Amino acid sequence: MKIKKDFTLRTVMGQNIVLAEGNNADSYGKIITLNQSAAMLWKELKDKTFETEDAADLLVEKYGIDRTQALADATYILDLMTSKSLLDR
Amino acid sequence: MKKQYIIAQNAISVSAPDGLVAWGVVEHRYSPFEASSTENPVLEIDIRVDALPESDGTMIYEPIHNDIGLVTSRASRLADGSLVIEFGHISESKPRLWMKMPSRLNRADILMAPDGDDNDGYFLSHALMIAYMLGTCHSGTLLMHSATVIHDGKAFLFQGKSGTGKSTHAALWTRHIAGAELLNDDHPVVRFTPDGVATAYGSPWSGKTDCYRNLSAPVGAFVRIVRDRENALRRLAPLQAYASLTASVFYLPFLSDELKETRHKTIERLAGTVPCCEMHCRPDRDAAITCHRSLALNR
Repeated sequence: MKIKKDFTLRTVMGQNIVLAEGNNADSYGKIITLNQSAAMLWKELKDKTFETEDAADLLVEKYGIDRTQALADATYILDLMTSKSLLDR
Repeated sequence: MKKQYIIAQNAISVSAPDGLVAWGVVEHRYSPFEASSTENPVLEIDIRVDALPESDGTMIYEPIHNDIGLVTSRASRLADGSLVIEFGHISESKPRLWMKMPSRLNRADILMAPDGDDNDGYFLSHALMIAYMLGTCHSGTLLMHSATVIHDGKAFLFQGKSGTGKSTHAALWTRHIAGAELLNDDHPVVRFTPDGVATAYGSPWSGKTDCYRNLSAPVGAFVRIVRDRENALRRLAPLQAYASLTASVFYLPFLSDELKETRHKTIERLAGTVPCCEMHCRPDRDAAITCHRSLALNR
């Protein structure tokens, strides 16, 4: 899977948010706040093709959690991103 | 002819062949901004009439047509880093206007096809707007999609998709709120003054309304217009304010990362300093009165 190109992750007023940068249609609404681990995954996986296992590996590496937990967390985060149309699967 | 203009404190120069019909059609929009200043312009625009070159750069932007539905544009990047944007009719593949800007974005060379077209003035003004937006982006200058009124020394910028009723709401203010006047009906400029005041400026780009005023005022509020059955104003939370502003600031996908960052920082600063609201409203007198009164209470 891949993170969609139309979205940018930025820190706005101290929060990690993802939004479409603009298309001059002035449509607004989609603004998604990411928690720290989701933002970390976004930064690491942006522009790459990856699998859930790669995301789990990153969670293990960065936060030292066990592999089973990491896989569950990665699945949860990526499913959430998919439901917000942020990923191409 | 060669003239200087100051639009939202940005000096630009425009040179064009004498008697160019397309420039004659739009020149009055720029006249209020004319300046005798000899200061170095941030952007030099040179318009000439000649056959348009074949595009040979890498396509980086496929057209999205604008709200009037007349112009389409596509952009490409040349080997030396300069940017080429072509403008033309949506229904025709051949462009009418060709514009090249170097990677520093401090000048725009415009070529217009020799066989005149009734809409050339429109293409030209649109190209100048985009050149201005690109050439001033580095200084935190934002071109907003908004119908804007000035009242009591403050600017109120109504935002929303085309057809939502921005202009209608602005017109209701000018009709029913004593002292309210239109600043710009489509694309005013917003930037911070050196002493940190978010300020709205009139511009030569006002959509279908002839309203090209060289006036400015500190921003009183940004107000997104949402059609509804009841008239009510609500304040947006900071992140919503940021998203709402981002949607209304003119955007081109091929801005460099550095310029995108400047744009983002300016919008974030605006969201943190100026009230941003959503006005649910009908297109009636009470909408203007409710909006005006609620904003006064919000201050």
